[in-house]
Amino acid sequence: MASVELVGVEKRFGAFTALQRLNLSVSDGEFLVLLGPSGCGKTTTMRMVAGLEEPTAGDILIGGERVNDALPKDRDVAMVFQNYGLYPHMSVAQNIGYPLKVRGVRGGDREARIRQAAEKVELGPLLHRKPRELSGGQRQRVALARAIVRTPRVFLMDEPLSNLDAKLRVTMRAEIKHLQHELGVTTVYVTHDQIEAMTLAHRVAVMNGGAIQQLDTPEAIYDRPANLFVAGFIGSPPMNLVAGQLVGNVFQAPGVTIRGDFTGPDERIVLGIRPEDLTITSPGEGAIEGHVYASELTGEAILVTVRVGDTRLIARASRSFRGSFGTPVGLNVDSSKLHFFFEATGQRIDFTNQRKAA
Amino acid sequence: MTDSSSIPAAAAVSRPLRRPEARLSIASRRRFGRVARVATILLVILLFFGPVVWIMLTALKEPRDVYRLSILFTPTLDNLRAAFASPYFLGSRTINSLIVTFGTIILSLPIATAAAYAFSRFRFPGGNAWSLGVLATQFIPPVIVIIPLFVAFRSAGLLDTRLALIIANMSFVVPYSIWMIKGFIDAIPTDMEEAAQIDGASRLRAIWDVVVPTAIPGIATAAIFAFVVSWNEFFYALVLSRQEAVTLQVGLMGARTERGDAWEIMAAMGLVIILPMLVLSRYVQKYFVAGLVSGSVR
Amino acid sequence: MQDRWLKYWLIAPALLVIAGTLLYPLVSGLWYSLHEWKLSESPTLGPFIGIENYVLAVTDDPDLLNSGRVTLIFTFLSVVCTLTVAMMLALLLAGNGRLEVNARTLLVIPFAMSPALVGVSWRFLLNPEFGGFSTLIGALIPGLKGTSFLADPTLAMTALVICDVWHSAPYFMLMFIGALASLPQETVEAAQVDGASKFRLFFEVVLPQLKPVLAIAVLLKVIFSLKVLDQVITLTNGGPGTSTETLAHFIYQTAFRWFDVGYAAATAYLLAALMAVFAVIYFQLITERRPA
Repeated sequence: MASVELVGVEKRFGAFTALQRLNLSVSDGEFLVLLGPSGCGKTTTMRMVAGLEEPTAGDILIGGERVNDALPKDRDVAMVFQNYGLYPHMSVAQNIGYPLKVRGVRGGDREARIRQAAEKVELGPLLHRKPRELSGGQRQRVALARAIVRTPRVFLMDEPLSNLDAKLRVTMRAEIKHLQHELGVTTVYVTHDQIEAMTLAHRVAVMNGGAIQQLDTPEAIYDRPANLFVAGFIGSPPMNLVAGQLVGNVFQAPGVTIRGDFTGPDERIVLGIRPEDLTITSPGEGAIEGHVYASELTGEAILVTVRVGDTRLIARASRSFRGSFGTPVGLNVDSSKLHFFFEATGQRIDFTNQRKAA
Repeated sequence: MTDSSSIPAAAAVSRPLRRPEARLSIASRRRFGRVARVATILLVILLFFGPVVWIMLTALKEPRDVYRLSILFTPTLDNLRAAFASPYFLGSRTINSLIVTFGTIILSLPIATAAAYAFSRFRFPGGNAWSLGVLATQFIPPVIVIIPLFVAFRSAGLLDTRLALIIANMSFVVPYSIWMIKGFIDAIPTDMEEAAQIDGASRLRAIWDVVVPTAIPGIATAAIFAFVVSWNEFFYALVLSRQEAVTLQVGLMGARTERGDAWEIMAAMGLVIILPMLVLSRYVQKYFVAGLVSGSVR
Repeated sequence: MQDRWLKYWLIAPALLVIAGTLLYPLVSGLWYSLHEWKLSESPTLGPFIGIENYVLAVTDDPDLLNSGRVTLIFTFLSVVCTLTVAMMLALLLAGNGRLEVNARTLLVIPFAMSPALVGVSWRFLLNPEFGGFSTLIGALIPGLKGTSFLADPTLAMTALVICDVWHSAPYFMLMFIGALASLPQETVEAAQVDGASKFRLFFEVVLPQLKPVLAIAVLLKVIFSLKVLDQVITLTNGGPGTSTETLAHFIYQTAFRWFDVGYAAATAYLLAALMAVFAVIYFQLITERRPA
């Protein structure tokens, strides 16, 4: 078990910069998720920790020790691959035992540890099978068992659940979370699925364009997104974003007028409201006026898309909401749950801090 | 399968609408077409496989039957016996062919597999040019290669040795095998060997433990290819061997005597030459030709 | 990483083989071609004579000219006949019925046979007295009964082409069957629905789509035919006279019968140059077809 640190790490492929001066520190026993859209550099980051890619600049430290020049085999990490990377010509037991075999663990000791790891992921009866005779979920378990069979210093998981169906994904997610808690091994987990990130992580690093946009706990990332990218990326359906202007303590945009406890910079800004922070009222009673554009039942709630001026806002309403296409409605907001961003830079504007500072 | 069989069934339902005579004539025309097709295929088999059978039968005929065109005859092993004796030495020639063929395979495949892996997984300065260049060497005519090789082997005292033939064979087996095996390794995902490296194996060990076993079908294809072309190689052996290292193929020339061609002996040698191809024919089609075709079209 | 040199270690043995068995001969062959060197008279390289060998070859060698003519005739005939036969075989045997599959397996045997044995076998089959094939021909065309194929210049060339078609058509047949199988089935079905006859279907729908494969097949077969040698040695040995003496056979005779190594090397380079033209086109085709 060990900490992982990336200091000023850069990765360029020819003229293309995949990662720009990345600093990241994962403490001992932490579960860190790298979250971002494809091509954001998250997998490259993980592969550099594993030693499968070489950083163009910067240092990588595992357990405080610089490992830039260490081969993957000498880094004492375990990795679960997106396509599992199982050895097709070996049985399940041989797959799980391979890390022990190459390290010279033999005989009964190896057998016992294989059995122990297999039992942890409920693979006991399948040890003699070949990977091609297993279902997707079972292959996933083999990959996990192979990772935990020797208690490495760091677990690396590269979108391990993306090839599973939705139901299995939920089960395996819980299993991974439980295993990590039980073993207490520092884990770096790559995904593009925000639900996985939110449910699994101690901390999430949201990445885009080869840079970390925000590194914080899932709660903080959800409640206080650091910029427009994070605001738009996290949450499903995503946060409503409305471009407008602050005049005194009033936010104004076409069809939107919100008063609040804020005085702002004289600049174009973007207002962000999460769908669940919008409440639907009768027409004329809300801060925002509009018409129902569509309403969709999701099961536990109804998502109502409201046309306001030339933008659309999504509100999460209770199942009791009745309103057909075109019905005029009002929308109310809790002014303490508003998010503001500079339109030009995309950075979050924090009125509370501003006020405290002032 | 189920889809295609359901279509005629649907057609049959609509048939009663047609007049019975029309149906009959279409059916009989179809039957005629089928018969003509089968007859053509049988003729093709006769033309292409008949000669092979002819050679093999000749090998088992008594000399007087050889020159008589008879199809009915009493099989005999006399020709084979004669071929194994002086001056044809079929036995030692077979051994030479076997040693040269397997020597070529055993030396070439590890070399080719290593290079194929490197060309598949690494970037080289100059990019694709390397692996294409390897294939391009196969368009150098053998007559150009053999002259300097002959001179070199002569000064090295390697003329008429099996080693010289193995080296000469490697000139075409190694490049082509690289190309074939590379195609297979290209299709193997990299995550397995990466997993092996993270699991604690060095890159070489990962290649040996994971890539090589997965690439076995490709290596087998190359092995079949190497077997067929080395076994059949004639020209280099003709130039480079005299007496000691003469292979089966070159041995064929020895049955041409001043008294004319000894056909029964040639047929006996032909039988030994063809036999492995017949035994391997299924694999020859599956791996050798398929490999060649995909290698040249890709 | 420390693996930086691994890739070079992995290709080193292969490069050594290629350098030793192909590049070295290529370079030293070029060097020989600039010298006068009769191996029968001297074991070491003779005097440097520049491009004299090439000048002689191009301007004043009727034998070489004859070989060039023979090679071109043979190449033209064998390419056209082989590919036509191969295409007909492919159309006949493309199905997956038991008969077709077995026929394909049997047809591969001629291709898997060594060219040398193929030549010997046909020499036997064409024997006017007891050859199976000449008997068959005699029965079909009475005028050719008892004809000695290999004694007549024109018929000897015919025999060489037949023997080559028999040997190489199965290979191109399998190439074409592969191409036929990968044709989008909808185009054929659409044409059938449009009411095209089988004949039109082939020439107007199937053949145009096979063009890329056909182009590659033509080039490969041209290259194979240009360097044909083994069958020539075992079937006709260039005869009667020099009527079937291909370039490769001429070079072989010059080098290893007359031991005129310098001149043989020079003519070998002329053949290589001819083949290089087609090889370059071939490489352009296959690299174009590969996804980037």
